Amino acid sequence: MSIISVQNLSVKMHNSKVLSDVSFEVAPGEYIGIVGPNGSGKSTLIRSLLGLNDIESGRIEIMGKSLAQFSDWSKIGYLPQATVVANKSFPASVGEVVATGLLGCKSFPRRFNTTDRDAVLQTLETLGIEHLHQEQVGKLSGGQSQRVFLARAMVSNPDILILDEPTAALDPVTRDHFYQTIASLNKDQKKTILLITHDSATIGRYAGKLLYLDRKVVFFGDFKEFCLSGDMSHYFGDFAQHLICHQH
Amino acid sequence: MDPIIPQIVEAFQFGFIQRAVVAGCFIGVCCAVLGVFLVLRRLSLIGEGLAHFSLAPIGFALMLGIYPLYVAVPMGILASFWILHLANRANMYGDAAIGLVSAIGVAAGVIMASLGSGFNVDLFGYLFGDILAVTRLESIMTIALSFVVLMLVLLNYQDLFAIAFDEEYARVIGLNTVRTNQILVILTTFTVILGIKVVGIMLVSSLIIFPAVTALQLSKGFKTAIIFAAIAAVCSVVMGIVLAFLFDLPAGATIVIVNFVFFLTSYLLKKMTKS
Repeated sequence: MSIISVQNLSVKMHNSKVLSDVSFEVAPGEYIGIVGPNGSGKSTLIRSLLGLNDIESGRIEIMGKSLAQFSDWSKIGYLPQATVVANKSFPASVGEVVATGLLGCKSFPRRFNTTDRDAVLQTLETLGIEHLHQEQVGKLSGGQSQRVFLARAMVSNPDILILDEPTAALDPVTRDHFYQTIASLNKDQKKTILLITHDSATIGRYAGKLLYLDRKVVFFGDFKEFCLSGDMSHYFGDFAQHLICHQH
Repeated sequence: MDPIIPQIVEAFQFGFIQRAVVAGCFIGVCCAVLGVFLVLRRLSLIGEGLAHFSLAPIGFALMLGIYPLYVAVPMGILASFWILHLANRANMYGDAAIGLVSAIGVAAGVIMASLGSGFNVDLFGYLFGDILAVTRLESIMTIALSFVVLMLVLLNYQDLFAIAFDEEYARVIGLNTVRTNQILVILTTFTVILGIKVVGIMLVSSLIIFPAVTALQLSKGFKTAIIFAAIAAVCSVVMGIVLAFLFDLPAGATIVIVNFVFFLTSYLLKKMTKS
């Protein structure tokens, strides 16, 4: 059974079609890299999965339930595109921010207990940033900030992690470290990963499947299949095989 | 000149000073607590907008001889929902929505003041506040409503914090951001309209903005910021009333100036700590 199912999804924004007839299924434990040019609808697809966009037509199911019926949002961890804190002087510690990831599984009035505080510390430890627990979140570097927001996405122990261009603002070393962290979450903890990236050269090393979007699904399948696909040069240029699949 | 301490002690013997301090402190704390959320969400001018808008219902009530708060509170809530609607659904920037609603209120208030006769003196009191004229009933009402406001903030604290930090993420994890935003603006409306009595329509937004920005200079954590803001609010109200009594100054305006001095001090402290 698929953990995410998208059938004939179409999305219009400002009277223009952003996604057209998109269909794909994700099995539990899969690692899907979502790639495509700017404006191809990658973020719109993710936002539609999260219920942040109105959809024009089609059906989205998460864990066997339609989007309208799905309510267990703590099972989904989301790392948004912009993880740099806009207001650098926002008075929130890393611990306070990471704990917000647990609010989805709390009922009103939402209060944190010792177990929650332990879960926050445990998640920070997993990502090697437990020393940042009391730090003000706006004062962190790009890489630290990224890990803090990943911790927020992971703290509720979700089955699915949705990451929107998580490595855009990272230097190459931090970026590789980040990819390795995500890969180990997929491999060791069997998390289902959906990761949007422009970093086509790197994602192939980690993702099991590739979803290439250009307002519609251009390719969806195993990465190896993608490398052998005759259409690849058409979409990625003549050096695609070398750059993406690391083949000469 | 008489020694100051006995004069201060004497001031606190008066019932009107006691009522002013109690009502001012409760309103000040509510404004400060809500102010931290509003300032961080760049919604602090909603207080200004709602206060200006309330000129219309207050003018209308005075013209008809009704107690102004009975009209100003429900009309203020409607105005706040209108601002939210314009900002969220009508693709209008939040500051433009606040400006629009506030201008309509001021315009309607001015027209009513020009049409009516005999109530302009009362309207002047609402424009610039008259905390020393707070009645016993108003004091009790202020305390009761302040408890309601603070209790609702406490119950919704985690939601308010999550939305202030990242509203979109709060929606993703299933929080009802629409309801929480409505609660925030309703509480702000109640607090602002009660605050009008303290510092007046023209200055009430300063009770929301100043303690919050003062606390934000010095706080690293969210709860600390709220506690600092509440302390700054109480200190500024008490000092403002005492200074106004001692030097025969308008109390509302003095409270605002004390708030400004607190902000300046915290700003300089932060600069000095950094350097």
